[in-house]
Amino acid sequence: MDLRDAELLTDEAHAQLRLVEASARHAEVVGVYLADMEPGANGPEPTHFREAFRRTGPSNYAHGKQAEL
Amino acid sequence: MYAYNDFDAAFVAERNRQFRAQVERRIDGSLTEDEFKPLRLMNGLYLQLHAYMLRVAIPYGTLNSAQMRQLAYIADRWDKGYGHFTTRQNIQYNWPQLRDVPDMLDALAEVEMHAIQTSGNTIRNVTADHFAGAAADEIADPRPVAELLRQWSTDHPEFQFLPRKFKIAVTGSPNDRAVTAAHDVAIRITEREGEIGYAVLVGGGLGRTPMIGKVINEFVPQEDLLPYVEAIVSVWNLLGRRDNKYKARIKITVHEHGIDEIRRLVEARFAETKPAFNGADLDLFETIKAHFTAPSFTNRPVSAYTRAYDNDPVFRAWADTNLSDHQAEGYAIAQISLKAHGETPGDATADQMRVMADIAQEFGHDELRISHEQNVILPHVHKDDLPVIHARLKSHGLATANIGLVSDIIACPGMDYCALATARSIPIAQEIATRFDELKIEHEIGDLKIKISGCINACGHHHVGHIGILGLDRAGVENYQITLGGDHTETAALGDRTGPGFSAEDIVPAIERIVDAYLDHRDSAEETFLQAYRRLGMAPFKTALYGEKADKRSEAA
Repeated sequence: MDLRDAELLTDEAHAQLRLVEASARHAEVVGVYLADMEPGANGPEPTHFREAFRRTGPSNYAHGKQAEL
Repeated sequence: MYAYNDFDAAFVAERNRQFRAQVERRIDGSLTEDEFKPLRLMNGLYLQLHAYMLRVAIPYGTLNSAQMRQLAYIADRWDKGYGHFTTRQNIQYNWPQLRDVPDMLDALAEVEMHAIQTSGNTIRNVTADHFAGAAADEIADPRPVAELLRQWSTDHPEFQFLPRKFKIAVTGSPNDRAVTAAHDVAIRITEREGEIGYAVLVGGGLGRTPMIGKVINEFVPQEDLLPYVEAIVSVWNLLGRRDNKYKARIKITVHEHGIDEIRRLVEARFAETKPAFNGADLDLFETIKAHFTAPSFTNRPVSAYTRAYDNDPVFRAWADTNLSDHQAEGYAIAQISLKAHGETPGDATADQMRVMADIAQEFGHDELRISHEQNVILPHVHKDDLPVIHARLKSHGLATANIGLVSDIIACPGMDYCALATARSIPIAQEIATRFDELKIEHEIGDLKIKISGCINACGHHHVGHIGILGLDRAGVENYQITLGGDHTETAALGDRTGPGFSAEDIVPAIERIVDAYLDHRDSAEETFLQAYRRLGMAPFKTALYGEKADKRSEAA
């Protein structure tokens, strides 16, 4: 899964609907939530550092998503 | 050390069998995450930012070499080749796959370990002084008491759905190395006219409302301990605020009702619990005690130690900082620092775990300890073996001579792993340690404990650090608040906030300014940071942090 291809949702009602749909896929994902993003050159960019860390991985080892890229 | 009996082994096997079935049902979709969550939390399995995390209890911080080797095996086989030792004598695996967790638990059971009650609103892993059974200042070994409490609290039917988590720590020495005053219940072994008993404190805790525990009973006789602790938990179980999780811990109950009222209620409840204990607990305690007899120490010369100490400055520096006094002549307690400069505090690779296990087996009566300060201890080593031990540790990056110094930093996992964190802790610890190593002044600075938490829950014990650092999220940016003057020992104290926090870029220079101010103001090299802070107060440190003007302004305000 490439985060550069992620879709940016701008309509709140649409976002809530997508959240409900995502939450229903409980065999694939856990802990689903909506995160604030803004458009960037390489797809949506998180506005908060928490999501920025989540989409890379920990800073002390090259583990997590950064290792899979 | 304690060895499982048939009951223990059957109990753990049954729990693992149940959990395996629960995991299967989660994976095949019969259970949702919401349904599975309470089940996984019964077995120490958390969900963090990048993956699941398995928290394994190391009861009272004691491990033998076989157990340490198994922890290494689990790290290699099902994780990423390392483990993280925590401030509550647990080890955490950060990258398990859900489908592998039942196998990990079975592997733990092979060496009499488990992850039961390392999460959830239960009585958690009972911790103890990491020098237990070895320290020169010890009245009695706290581990039999801790093991008794572990057996009593494990699956205790009355205490599986407490208002909140509940933590107990035990020390057998007047010098408190187990941060007991920051626990829901502290048990301090004391002696009165030749009789062993327990001073019991209640209502300590860190987190968003830090409190130092208060004495509820100066002397609980040995035979009353379990019914007395049961009375405490039982009183809180009914009184504790289940309406608000931020007010549910016993520290708030004690604060709201007052220690005198709590004492009265506990005494009343004790009158009921005491007759219900028929003496089986005392028989059990005697059985447990027999598992903790001291190893047979030998009396031999320490000439190799003296020779190395006199001729090898690297060994001497390590011996000066990492060794402590042992009960037995010719022996020492050796601390293995998991705080190599620039590395993650508390992390050990599988290879390092095996090296430590081998040393413990060959030279250390097969014993290892994990400290709340996230280091590993060889509690019983003969001084004459220390040069060989040191050389072996050195070749595996385990001979850092910094115990109790500025780079021996406690740090929680912070936002690099933890779903609750508001900022990162690990990189801050790495940068501070690296900076002071570059300056080559940490031995000159001397005893200085820096403790870092990445959120208000205070797993990194920042309130009781000589210098405490708390990472927060201020308007979407990491911000670090500083406290000074905290103390985790028998003279426990909470640190005072210096003022506004610092950004991730500015926090390391800020810490350096505090340390420089200490070096400028101390009356001699013998005056420690904490002593200097107690003598001088906040003012010179505030000036160092914020400048003259800011200091004046805050005094006027």
